[in-house]
Amino acid sequence: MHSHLSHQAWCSRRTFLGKAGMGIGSLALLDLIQREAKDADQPPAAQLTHHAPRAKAVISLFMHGGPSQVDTFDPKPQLVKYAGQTLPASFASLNLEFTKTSTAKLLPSRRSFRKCGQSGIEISDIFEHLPRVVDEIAVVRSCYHTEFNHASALYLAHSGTRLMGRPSLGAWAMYGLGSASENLPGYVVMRDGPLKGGPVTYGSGFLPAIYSATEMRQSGAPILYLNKPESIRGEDQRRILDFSQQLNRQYLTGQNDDSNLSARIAAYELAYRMQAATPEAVDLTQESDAVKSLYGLDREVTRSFGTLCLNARRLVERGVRFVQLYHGGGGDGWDTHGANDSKHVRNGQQIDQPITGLISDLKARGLLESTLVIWGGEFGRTPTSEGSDGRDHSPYGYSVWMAGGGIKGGTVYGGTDEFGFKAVENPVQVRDLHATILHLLGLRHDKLTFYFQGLQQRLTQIDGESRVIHEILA
Amino acid sequence: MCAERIWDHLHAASGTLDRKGFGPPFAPKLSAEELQGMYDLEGKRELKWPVTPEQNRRAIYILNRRSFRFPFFEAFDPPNTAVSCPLRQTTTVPAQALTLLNNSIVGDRARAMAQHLTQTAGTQADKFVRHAWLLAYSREATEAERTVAQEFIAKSEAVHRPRGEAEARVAARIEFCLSLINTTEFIYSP
Repeated sequence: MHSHLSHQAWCSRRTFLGKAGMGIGSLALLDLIQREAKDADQPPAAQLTHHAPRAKAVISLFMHGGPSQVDTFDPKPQLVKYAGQTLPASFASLNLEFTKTSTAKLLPSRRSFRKCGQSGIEISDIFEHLPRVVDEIAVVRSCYHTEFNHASALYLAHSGTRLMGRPSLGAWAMYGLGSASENLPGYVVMRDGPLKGGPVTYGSGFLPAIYSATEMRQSGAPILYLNKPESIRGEDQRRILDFSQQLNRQYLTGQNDDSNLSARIAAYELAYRMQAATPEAVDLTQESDAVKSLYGLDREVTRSFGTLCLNARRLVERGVRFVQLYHGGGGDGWDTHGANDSKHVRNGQQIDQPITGLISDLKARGLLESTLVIWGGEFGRTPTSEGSDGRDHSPYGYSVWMAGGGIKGGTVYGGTDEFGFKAVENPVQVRDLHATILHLLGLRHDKLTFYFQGLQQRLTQIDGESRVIHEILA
Repeated sequence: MCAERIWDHLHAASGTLDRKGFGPPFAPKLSAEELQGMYDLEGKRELKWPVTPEQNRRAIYILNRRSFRFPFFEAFDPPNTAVSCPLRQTTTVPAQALTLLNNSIVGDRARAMAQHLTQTAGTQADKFVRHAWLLAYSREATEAERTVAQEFIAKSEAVHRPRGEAEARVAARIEFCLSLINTTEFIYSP
């Protein structure tokens, strides 16, 4: 800093603090530089894990709205017998958003279930393709929590708490592992509809911005501000950047601590590379027709989510750590307060082939064993009806499945009661799912902490126990 | 610098800062790209972002919503809108570089800064550069800096010369201002 001062003709606002000698300004400055250098050092390199990881990447397929367990992965043939009856009085204490457990009538699924694959996991006929890869997946039929509104359930499913603005699973994974890509963001979000709860749902909360998600858009530039303004050509930008970097080096050459300088220069160079690498990563013209049709890109009904799934595979191949996809926001999505059956059939068609294609493609490329695929929503739905043909939100017992990276395929874990309403056998909390996912990434949920507001915060929270579900691990 | 100070400094350096105090917040224009995919919390309709006539006031007056942060600020560790923020993070991320290189607000500021400097210092390169240093960094440029700056302007003018002498002069000065905005010294203030 002294050589920096020496070429100052007069006292600028920046040098003023420095000239204050050993005053508090200098101390704050030193702290700032050190802190910044420390933060800047963290993201690029992969960081040490607590134990050997089973998965290096995660693809989360989030079914926004809340898919119905009794119409997908949790067959309840008994419902036919109880059709039109109300639930036993013991359910009265469970609150729902639009209906009452004391008066709502049980509504059997119109779907038929069949045993699939070697494992014989029962899946509803909504899914025509998924049975081909069923032996890769482990279904947890006993997930539960108590948030029956979308926003708070979304925050809980992502951040482990119903509160808005806490770091999401993807941000924690980035915090624990760092990025594995040299020229792409490490945590990418893609969605094809609105998200109740807003972008803060997948945000980084109190974690530093380096762990935040980058949303890749489905039209226009894939990343906000990725494209040069029209007035600037490629060679113009390189010249502008070179000049800025030249000034940076001149200005900071004499600084004692140049880690900050190199971090900033590196950030600019990464940004420059991202401008080329990101469009390439999501350029599907490079894929063969066979691959495209594997994901259903050749059919209208599957094109949208198929595109997201194929992009997810391409990103994981290129070292992206965490890909978060959303399906089904909006009125025609999984939030089936009316026309539950036809909407589930439609939504199922939209995701069935893309997801099956993704899992089989990952497997064929040898990526499935190191990529954890997660399927689930913010909650499930009631086995009782809302109106004549809808189902209300229900967080008390719903299904989530995982595949790949360290998962014991062909497994069913936990179960709901005879109505498919409440998790009764081996209940699994959201924080247990989170602990399991972190475990597969080589991280201990109780050791991955960040100091904020006087607490060593963690994804699994500090107000109760969390358990890694070893029963579904290979 | 934090997000708001970068905004203020950008406007101060380009001579467009509106120092009017108090009153209701203002909402800067957002591009179609920035608004794309932004929905309100109900998830039912596109987010409505009111654009106010005032555009260049200090950042402290920019409209803030709990569910929507001003996209320009996003990369510069703005406080989380949902919880209290005892201390802001200071990080260095590529998104900051992308924002400062490609955001139209910054492009507009570079243009305004070049215009402002042309009005106050004229287009003569050495005087332009010296004034630019005072505006951007609040200090005199060193000999070495003046030399490389003039070299840059000359090189840039040469590239743009096919578009005509006057246009080349303007384009080179806008590029020069954009370069200064993208230096560490411009956005980093200990």
